[in-house]
Amino acid sequence: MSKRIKLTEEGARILENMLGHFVAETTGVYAALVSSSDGHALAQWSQSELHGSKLSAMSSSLLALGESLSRESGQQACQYVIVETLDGFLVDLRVGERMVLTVLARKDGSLGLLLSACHQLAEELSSRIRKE
Amino acid sequence: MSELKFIFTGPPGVGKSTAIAAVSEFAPVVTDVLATDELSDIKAQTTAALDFGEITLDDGEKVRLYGTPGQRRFSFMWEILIEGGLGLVILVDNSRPDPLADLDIYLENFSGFIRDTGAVIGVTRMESHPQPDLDDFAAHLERHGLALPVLEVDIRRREDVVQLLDVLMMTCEPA
Repeated sequence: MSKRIKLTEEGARILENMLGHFVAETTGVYAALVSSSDGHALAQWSQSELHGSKLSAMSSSLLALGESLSRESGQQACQYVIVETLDGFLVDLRVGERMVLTVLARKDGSLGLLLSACHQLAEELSSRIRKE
Repeated sequence: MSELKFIFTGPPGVGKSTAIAAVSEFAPVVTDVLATDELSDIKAQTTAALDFGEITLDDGEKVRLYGTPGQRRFSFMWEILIEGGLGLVILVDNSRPDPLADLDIYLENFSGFIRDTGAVIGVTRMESHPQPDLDDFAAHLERHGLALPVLEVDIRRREDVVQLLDVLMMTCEPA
């Protein structure tokens, strides 16, 4: 049975507005993307230029690897994959079963607060998508 | 001691994960995610990063087997996975609309790796889809200036996958 994701223009605009609001309101965050679980770009909001389709595919791979590593290590479900760079963080997490949220942030705020904000956004996106 | 590492590639749904699972001595590492595009019409999940399995040769040497994602958007993983590899298995699904065009995608994208190491082509679902036949594949490869072994395989069968690897090992020059 097909499980395709097809976002309407209206649906994509709603997601982008939610991402835009998140970027504006969350300390240090400068970009956020929503992708399908298999790496297609669905929506993004960024304060700088980003290659959304590349980041979406890479986020899908990275999160799949994180989940696989969690399983192989005998730990419970992977919640986040976090990449810490010299000047920032990249965070990947699931939105429901079929989507991935990627958040890019500078090191202006604490990682704990960033993860908490990402988790809350993922819940909101998931809940909103279910309603659409 | 040289490290034996071979890579399986080919279009989405061709059976790369299945091939590795057929021969690996342990349950392979998989990175399956839910498919959300046209692939989901035929297959619920797809590989997003890699598959990994291992077999031991008669002389005790371990062979590491990596499967790539099939989709071109994951080509960054192709670059990562061929690092240190000694040869490539390209699987082609003859039931797809244009198997020779599918083959070209992987011949083109892995051209440097194939030139430096070696490759073998495994054609699946030939029983139900006999065309193009093995001669057509050989002629097609010749037009690319390549002489690579082409085998009909059922990648669910361990012996077929082992045969692909045997032929690949005979073809490849050690690095």
